[in-house]
Amino acid sequence: MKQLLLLTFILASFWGKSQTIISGEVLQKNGEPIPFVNVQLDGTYNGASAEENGQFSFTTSETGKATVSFTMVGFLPFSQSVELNGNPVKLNVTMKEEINALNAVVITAGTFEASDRNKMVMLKPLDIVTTAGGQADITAVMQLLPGANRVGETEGLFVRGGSASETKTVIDGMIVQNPFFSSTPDVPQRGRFSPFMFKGTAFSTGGYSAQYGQALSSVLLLDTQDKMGSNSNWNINANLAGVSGSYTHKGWLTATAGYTNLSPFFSMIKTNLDFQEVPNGLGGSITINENINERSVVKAYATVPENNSGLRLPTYDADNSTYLFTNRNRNFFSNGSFKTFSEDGKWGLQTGLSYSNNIDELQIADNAADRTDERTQTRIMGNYYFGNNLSSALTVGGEFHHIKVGNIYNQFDLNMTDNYSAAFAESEFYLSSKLALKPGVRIEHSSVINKSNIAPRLSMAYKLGKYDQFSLAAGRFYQNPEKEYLYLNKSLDFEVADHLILNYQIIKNLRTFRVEAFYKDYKNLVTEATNSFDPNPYRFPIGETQNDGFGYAQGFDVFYRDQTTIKNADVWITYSYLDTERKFRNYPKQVKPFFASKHNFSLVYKHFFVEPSLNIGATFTHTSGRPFYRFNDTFQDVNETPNFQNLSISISKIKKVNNHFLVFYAALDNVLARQNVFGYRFSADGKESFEVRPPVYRTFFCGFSWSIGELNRTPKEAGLDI
Amino acid sequence: MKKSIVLLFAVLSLSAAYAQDSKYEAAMKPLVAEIHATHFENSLTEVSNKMERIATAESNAWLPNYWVAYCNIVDAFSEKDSDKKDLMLDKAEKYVGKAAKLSKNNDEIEQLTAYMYNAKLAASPMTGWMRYGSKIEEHIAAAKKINPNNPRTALLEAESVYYTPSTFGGGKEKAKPMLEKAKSSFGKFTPKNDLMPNWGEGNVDYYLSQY
Repeated sequence: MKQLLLLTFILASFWGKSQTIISGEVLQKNGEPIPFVNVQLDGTYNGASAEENGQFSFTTSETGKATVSFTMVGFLPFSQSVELNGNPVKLNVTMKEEINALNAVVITAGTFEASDRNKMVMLKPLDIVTTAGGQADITAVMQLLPGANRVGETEGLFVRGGSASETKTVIDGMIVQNPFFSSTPDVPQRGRFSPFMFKGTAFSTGGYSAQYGQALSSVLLLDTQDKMGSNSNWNINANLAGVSGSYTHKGWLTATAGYTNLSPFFSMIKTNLDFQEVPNGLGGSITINENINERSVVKAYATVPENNSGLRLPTYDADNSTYLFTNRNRNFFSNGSFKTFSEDGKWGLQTGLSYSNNIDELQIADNAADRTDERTQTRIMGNYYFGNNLSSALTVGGEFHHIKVGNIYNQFDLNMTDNYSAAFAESEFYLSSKLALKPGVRIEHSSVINKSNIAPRLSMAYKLGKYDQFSLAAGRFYQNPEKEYLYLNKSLDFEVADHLILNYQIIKNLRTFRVEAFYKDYKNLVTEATNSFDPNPYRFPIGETQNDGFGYAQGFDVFYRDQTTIKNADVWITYSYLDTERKFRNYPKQVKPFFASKHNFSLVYKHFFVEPSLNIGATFTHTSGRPFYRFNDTFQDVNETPNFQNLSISISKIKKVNNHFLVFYAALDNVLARQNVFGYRFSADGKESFEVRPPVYRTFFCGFSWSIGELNRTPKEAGLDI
Repeated sequence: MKKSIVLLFAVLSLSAAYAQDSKYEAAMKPLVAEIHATHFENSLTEVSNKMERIATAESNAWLPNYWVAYCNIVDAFSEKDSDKKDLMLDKAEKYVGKAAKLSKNNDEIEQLTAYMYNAKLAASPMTGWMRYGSKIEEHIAAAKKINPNNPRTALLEAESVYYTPSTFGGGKEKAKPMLEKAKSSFGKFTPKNDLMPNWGEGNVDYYLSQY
């Protein structure tokens, strides 16, 4: 009998369940219903989809304590415990919208980004290489963007009234000591790094993150490519400037070797330069890029280029005599980084190590001169992600640099060692998908001047509608005085700039409009006391120096991009207005610096012809005159150079046959052969003036790239029709 | 008596396990049938939700995860709102990933992964190649390695050639023999059971009707 009772009990527990009705509605915070929410009793199949009006209802035979879960794409999951005993359960639930890459406001003030990271970016990585007049040089393309001031006679990025030394180039978080090929007076140099190396380029025109320092105006942040596939392939490049070849092994290892010689290039065109030895060089690099597991990435890059050149430069005297300037450059750059995330995505760690060494063996007329610099740096950074869909982050990190620079000129032997350390903390948090705040602070110490600083930063963004937003950035930025001053005076202090930037942008239906206004206040700029003014920008400062310079820069810039009005065409229009004055270097009073021009305008047009698969591009730039100051100038009235204008065109054709991928390209720079003048140099007595001209008025360049094997990345043109 | 109770328990628990299995099958069958009968014209949200509930409850079954991913990919193709489309494809990516964790060396999952990346590529054609091009190739290759006769892999390969411009080694004409090959492998294909993927022949027929 007992057993029978037990049996009944067991059977009852299997078949004798009571039914409970669970119903209710699911709403958003604003009271609107959320249709199609998936409602489920955990651990069972029981559940329902919410109707169009947010109502749902289902029955279950489960009893006791249980959990009901609500899930919906674009919303944070929600669960509620219930007691199931046969009595109807009514659930009125409010679901919170998830903050994700699609709906979140993005802090954009002061940043011009080319990446695939989010919807608010202005450019895609490939836009850099397909721009006419950009010569596939990252800096040259950045100079077409708002905030940059084109300065033709020297390399570097001049940003919003800042000199080239106020911009730092950063690869994967590490400062690059020599981002350009070695400087030659009045001959601009290309950047050392190919744009194809990077998946993202962020050009900051101010107000940048506390993660970076030692730049009064701007940082150019380059993020190297991730491993994309595991194919092996060969690539051969040949053009008027040299040949190079590379082999990629299973997607993770790439070795490159190249020989450059500009003879074919200069043999085709008339140049304003007088070469003793046409620039030539030999170089190689190795890239390692491996995903250790799904959440960890290791990257390493090393390159050893050497370059030689010799040219006769004008002495700037009445006889038009020249002197020989030769350079044997030996460069080494290496960079390694490791990045990992915890399984739950809440923690991230990034570390990096970099070593670079650069030697310029210069011969200037009869004087031997060496420039050397060496930088060893390490960086560690931890991230903690929190909040709605882990959208917010707290970042803490530090870096250490050991820098040795030296300059030998005949009997003078100048050198300097700096141990630079910095710590930073920053939090980017989302109060909602519409409002983001990013406060940060950076603390630095430099041993060469034995001084420390604290730099606060703040940026924020507010989303107005689905497509447009406001963003603001402000902060204080410090930079060590330039080494030329530090050689002789190690009691100088940091130079300081305060930034305030306000930005509005709208991106809708393949059209982008962005306007940004800024104000910059410079303090503690290094000044040099001299008896009379010498305008030569390459002179070595031997006067007494102190930090009593100052200045300001203000203005606005506008950017418009349209990828839809003309089919298969892409148009960008950029205009920057700049008003700036400063007292610095050997300037006796606050005036407009020689590198600043009031108006910078550029128009970039690209057209893709699907049928013959041809890319045609044209770029027009206009830069208003820059001031120049004469020998012993009294700075009473300002003289300006003529306006600078340039029209460039480029054409490229792509062909794929089986495993062979071919790209032919040709470019014509300064089509109209306009005789631009970048400035003037003066004879030692100040009586004679000489024009600074570009090395070549009109340049023609062509070449091809040939890849063999399955590619890990296919150019965008291949996918245009999909 | 004791023995018989033990026996009863054994029978009951076995039948419970069987009930569980048949419950799974009973729930899945009509859903899979509905998915196979739907050709882009109707939304699969409702079915996807039901599949998702099964996927959550049956933590070791890869198929419901597979089908949730499939439903979201198919629905994403007809979704007009680009943000919603991206979210649906992100969801598909999450579920195909779950399926891949539960079942290794599965040609259907590899194929669907490639199909999902293909949909992502189509959603952002300007930059899609850079990000997804090689992933698509990788997963197609993996699917072929496991099962060279999977007709859905053949369909996907033919489809991408169909849409690639002839300058890049693709084109409608080049795709034709591939589509015909896919058609014949659909003819030879029989799914292991009613819950397994058996979609795609309609797509081949559509492309072949374009010649």
